[in-house]
Amino acid sequence: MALPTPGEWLDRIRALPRPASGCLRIMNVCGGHERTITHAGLRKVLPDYLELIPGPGCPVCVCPEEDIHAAVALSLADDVIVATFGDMVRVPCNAPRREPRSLQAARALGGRVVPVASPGEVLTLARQHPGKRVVFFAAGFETTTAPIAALFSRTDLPDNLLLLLSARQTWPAIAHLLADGTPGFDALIAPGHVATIMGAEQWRFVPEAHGLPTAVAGFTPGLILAGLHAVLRQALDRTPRLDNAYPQCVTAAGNRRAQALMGALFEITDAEWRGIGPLPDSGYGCTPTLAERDARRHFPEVFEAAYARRGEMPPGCDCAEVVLGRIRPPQCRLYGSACRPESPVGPCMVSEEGACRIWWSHGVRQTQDAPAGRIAVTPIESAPNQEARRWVLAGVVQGVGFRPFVQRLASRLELAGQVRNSGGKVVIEAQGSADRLDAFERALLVDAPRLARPRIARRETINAEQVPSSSPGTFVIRQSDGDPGGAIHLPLDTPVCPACLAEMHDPQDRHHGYPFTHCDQCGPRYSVIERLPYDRARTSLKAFPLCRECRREYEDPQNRRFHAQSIGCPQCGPRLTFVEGGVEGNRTLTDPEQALAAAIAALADGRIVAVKGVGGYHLMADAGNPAALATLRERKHRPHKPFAVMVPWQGEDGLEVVRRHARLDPAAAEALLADERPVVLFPLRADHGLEAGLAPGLDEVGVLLPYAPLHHLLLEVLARPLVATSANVAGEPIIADRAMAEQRLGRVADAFLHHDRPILHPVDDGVRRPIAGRARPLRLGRGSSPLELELPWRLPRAVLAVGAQQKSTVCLAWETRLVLSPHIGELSALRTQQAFARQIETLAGLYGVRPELVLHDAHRGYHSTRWARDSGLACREVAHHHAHAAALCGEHGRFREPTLVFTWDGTGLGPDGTLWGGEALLGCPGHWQHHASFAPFALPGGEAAIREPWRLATTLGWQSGLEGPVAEGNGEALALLRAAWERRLNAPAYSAVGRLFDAAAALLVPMPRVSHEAQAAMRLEALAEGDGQPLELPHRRDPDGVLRCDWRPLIRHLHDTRLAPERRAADFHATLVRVLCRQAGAAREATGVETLGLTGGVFQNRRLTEGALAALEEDGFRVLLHERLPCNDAAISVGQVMEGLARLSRHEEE
Amino acid sequence: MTQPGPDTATVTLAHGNGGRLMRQLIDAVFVRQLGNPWLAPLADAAILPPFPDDDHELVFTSDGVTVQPLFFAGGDIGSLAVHGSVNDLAVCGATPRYLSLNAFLEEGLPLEALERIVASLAEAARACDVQVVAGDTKVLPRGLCGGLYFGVSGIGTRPAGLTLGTRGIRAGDAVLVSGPLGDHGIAVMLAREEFGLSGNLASDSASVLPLTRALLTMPGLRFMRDPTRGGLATVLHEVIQATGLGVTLEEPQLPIRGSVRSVCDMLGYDPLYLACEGRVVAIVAEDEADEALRRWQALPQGRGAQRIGTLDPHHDRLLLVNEWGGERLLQELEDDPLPRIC
Repeated sequence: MALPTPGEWLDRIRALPRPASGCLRIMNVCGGHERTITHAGLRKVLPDYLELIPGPGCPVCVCPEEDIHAAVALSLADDVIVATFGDMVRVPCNAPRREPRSLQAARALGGRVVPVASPGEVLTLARQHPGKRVVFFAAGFETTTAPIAALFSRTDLPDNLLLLLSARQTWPAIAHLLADGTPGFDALIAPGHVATIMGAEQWRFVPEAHGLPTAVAGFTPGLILAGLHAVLRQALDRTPRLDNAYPQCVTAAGNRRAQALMGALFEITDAEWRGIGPLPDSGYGCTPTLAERDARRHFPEVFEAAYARRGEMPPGCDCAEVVLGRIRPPQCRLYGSACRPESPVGPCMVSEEGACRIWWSHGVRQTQDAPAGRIAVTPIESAPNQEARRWVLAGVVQGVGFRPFVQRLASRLELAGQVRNSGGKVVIEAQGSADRLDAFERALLVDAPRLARPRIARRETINAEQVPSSSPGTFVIRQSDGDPGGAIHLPLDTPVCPACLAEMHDPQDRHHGYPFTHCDQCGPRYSVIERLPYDRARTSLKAFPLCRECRREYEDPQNRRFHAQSIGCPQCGPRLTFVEGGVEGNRTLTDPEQALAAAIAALADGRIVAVKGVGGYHLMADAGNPAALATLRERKHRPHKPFAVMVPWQGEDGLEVVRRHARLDPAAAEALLADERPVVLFPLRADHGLEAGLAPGLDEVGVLLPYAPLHHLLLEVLARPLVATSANVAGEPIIADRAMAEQRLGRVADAFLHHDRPILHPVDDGVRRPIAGRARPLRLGRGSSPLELELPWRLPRAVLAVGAQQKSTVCLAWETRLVLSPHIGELSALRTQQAFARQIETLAGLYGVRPELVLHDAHRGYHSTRWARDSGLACREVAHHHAHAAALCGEHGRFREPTLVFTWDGTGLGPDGTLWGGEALLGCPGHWQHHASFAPFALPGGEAAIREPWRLATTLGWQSGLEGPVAEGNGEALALLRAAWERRLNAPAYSAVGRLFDAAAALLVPMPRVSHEAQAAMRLEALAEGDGQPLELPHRRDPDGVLRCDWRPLIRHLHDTRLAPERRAADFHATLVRVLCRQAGAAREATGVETLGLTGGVFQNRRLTEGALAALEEDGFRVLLHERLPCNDAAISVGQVMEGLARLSRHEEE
Repeated sequence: MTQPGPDTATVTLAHGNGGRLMRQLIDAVFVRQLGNPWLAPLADAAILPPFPDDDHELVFTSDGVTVQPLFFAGGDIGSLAVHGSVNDLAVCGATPRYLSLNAFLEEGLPLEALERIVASLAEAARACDVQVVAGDTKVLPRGLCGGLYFGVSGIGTRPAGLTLGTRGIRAGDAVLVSGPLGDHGIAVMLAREEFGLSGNLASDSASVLPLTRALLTMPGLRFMRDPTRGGLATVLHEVIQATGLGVTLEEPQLPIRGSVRSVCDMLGYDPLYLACEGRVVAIVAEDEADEALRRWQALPQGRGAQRIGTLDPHHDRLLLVNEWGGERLLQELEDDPLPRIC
């Protein structure tokens, strides 16, 4: 019997009714399927209720980055040839720009890379090059793995043939998608080729365990249509089962011989899927019988290095989401812009089996062209089996375009009803057929907007009368309930999106040149929210009634400005004003275009302009103009502290200008592009070409990209980097309103570029520094805070943690939630103290939580402690370093298991009344033992001495048996210091590593006075060159059993002028790494502890942290670093909560 | 007059037993130096003449003097005992008239030192035109006090109806200080620690009577205080607590000697919290501030006077504004100030 033709299959499919759910989303698991579907145009000819979703069917796409790193490195080795399947040659990894990022690039640099089409070619290659080791880099699914097994089961292989196996099983990826309950598809087309080897039965778990229609299908259009027909039938019959729609080749059990071969040589292992993570039982590894040919065993150091280098997906790359079918290729942020087949960023744009590559070569350019058309449904005349349901959705659902999305979705499915915000949640009531309501529910979670993180908190069936709809078949967005409370999530400020940017650049668009162009995916959020729920009427934009055009967009469910709260246009939105003080009085320009032009002219002219942005004002100046920089430093009284630089957005990924100045690593590049748009600290390139005055004495520069449309407008015209430093008076919070700006900055700024959108919650730019492969936060600010965290169990009472003194933050925690405020600042200044009080009010007000207990530091001189004790609320004290340690353990969810946490910082009051800062604490939150520390030293002169590190260097020298003072000390000052030191006058005892850094810096760099915190330590880190030779410092147990490091030999070593200062600085770092290893080793010996943590401001030092991480891991420890929280005192408030949580619940248990 | 025997170059417990030695000591040291018609009878209490008229009210104060060391550049515990009480009376607008003196002597105190101290005390009292009219002497065993403590009470008179105090203070009023801050605190500290510094750091210990008298006739005078323990900052914190108003100080206006500043910097002290023993802080109506300053600066004790700040209704803290507008909050004094910089 002849098989039906594709046309006949199509007719059969069309003859079937539409499924009651309204649509059927069918995933395919094989790149070959996707290629056929796309190139044969099946999506266009199939009924529009069938949505075909490309799935994880591209082995090249999921090949882990470390394997590519390793292959690249091997290809560059002298005696190695890397052979691999064609696609693999071009897949990029995240190597630094100056290094080869793909095998192709390695080949261009002289690497030996040979593309092959079959395993047999590899054998030939090995025989032709007996003097080289030929590494077969084999990525593939089961279909490819079988012939590889066949090759390596041969007994006549030359010795120089090695295997780098990166093979994967397909079914675990589908199991992974199904396991989280929101697979995003309703039926599955299983891969025919894989099934020829492994058998159709492998897929039975999909219909039987998960109830999804499933068919194994072949690869021609006809065979695919046969498979689609099979699953559609199953869906209509509501009898999910496993159909074999490829019986020509596939049997139930598969190719037993191939399976046996594979089984003999390979074993099933857990394996890494790029962008997805490790999946259990999803990979093949070499069994011991193949050990001799396993490249991983031959080159362990290469793989170790490669593993250490692996990172996230390239910045902006959404390949992981594409592979999992969660988005379609054009929805990727880079599709078609930064990522094209000729210059691929992600693997999906490389491989012939990658969905992006397939769609691109089929001509899909934008979402609108997507062959996976919208779920369109023809109207139903009668409405049988109507029912009504109510959902309450929690999670991040406000301020992210969620209600408009719900309305669009409901309209498409022709559901009647309404959606509204209510107390931080979204409530949906909808009426329709059960199937459609099911489909609706699935889509709510799966197709939610990019910034949303919805979760169904409640689902109930209600009476149809309870669905308040104005007319049948309409679905409306209702005004929010004013009722606050509930699990509210604050939406965060988001940078302008590409669509809005494009409109701003389009001369035909009414937003052309408008600096406040936004939509539901971008714009200010937290900074403009008066109270929740998030609605325009409760934001500072309420002062800007929408014009007719904006109102139309706001009310059009198909428009991306539908119910977007921060929109506006030149007719109705916020406007710019320029004010300039001069000899002939103030010049004020209220015409927005003139204002912008004047600001640009002033900046071009080397003047300092205070520019109002999202969270406050920046002081901006031409970063290439040394006179402007000098003026800014002088007027700001900021002689040394580095300035951040905002660089123009250029090139496909926006980073072209950054690359010109700084050495970009992937983690940093990703951080730079993230929605947070933080200041990222980069090592400067040797030829950076930036003014030295930006960061005197340092080899790093803080860079940020434009995030407000206004920044883009400024930088596009100026086309040069601008200093963009928070506008404040030294030590005070960022300034956010016009009157304050003009009053406080009158002597700093030459001019002001204001706008009239009020900033209700000022928030600084965040700061990150790449350390150990991640851009770790040093300060949380706009776009990253308030940061919400989940607690592992319930707090018995709502608590407020007021943090420390410098880098102040506060935390509000209740039930199982914790919210960390943005950076507040140093609490010495009145205005910062006022901001501190306001921040507490803001969090309590927005979240509607009244704390009953205040957690504070042990230091009575901290403003936060005084505030707590004056608050009238119950108070508990948490020692500074206990909080540090608890913050780190809390971030990693370690509340019970013992951890040895090194809390190294500059100063904090210890429970024994001395000033700690070099402590190793062993235990878990709520229960810490003082394991190790440093021998105490006296620091006469209190805080003043910390600003003059030479004093400490001198007294530490005296304590180490050295006589001479450090350069800056002389005459009467030195005599006073000596007298004060001998008498221990106003000289508290310290054990703080941060102070050792100060002393070391003063010994190696002339530094009469530091003008900002950590200046000495930063200089010391920048000074260090080379690996450094560690000293073995003696340790002794004190009477309390605390192991104390005697630092005196180190101080003496730093005085050894026979060594270059760069070398001594490196030795200093290396020695501290040794101290960590020594103290950790002692703890392991005594208690068996295997997990370590590094926290405290000292670990902002990259050299120390990366050195410590490498050495401690070498010693077999697992090492925890902060990922979401800064390691400095900004984390103290979080630690206070974690410590309090542990103690309160212990107390309550007892 | 009988001198104590040669065997007692130091104070002994026998000097406190109420017997002959004690009488000898009182006669030889105290009465000789302080003698006046009311003290002479050495009765249990002094009988004082009635005050001249009803338009005056009595002002009464008490003070313990425990400074260590007993001698320091610019003064000693004797002069300090007088200035402490005299100044307390003076800043209340009073004219000091009589003092009582309790001397607690430590066994082993050299009599020579005691004599120098009492001589200094007597000289200070003469200069202030006050009489020591009652007294008591106790001797404590070695180790129970630092050589010598004094307890002083003082009586003065002032015109009735004078309303000095925090209640009259208004927003916008000016804060004046009569001279450099911190001199006494630093001088005593350097003496105590035997730093042996060269230089000219001396205590400001002196009577402030001329300073207070100069302002008493001004209707705009609200408040005066001598910033002793805790210094200027502590006085102003009391004002803030009493009035609910903030005080904003202009850092460039603060009179602080360079030598005091550099020692403070090195040792980690803040001169605004250090004791003065011859300065006055005055709060004066804004429109009379210039006149008050002029009057002070015309006096030798007031040459270094400055207008330093303002009562500020915009906050309720003690705020120090530097030359470029940067602000620092001055906290209330901690028991034991610890560094907070991390």
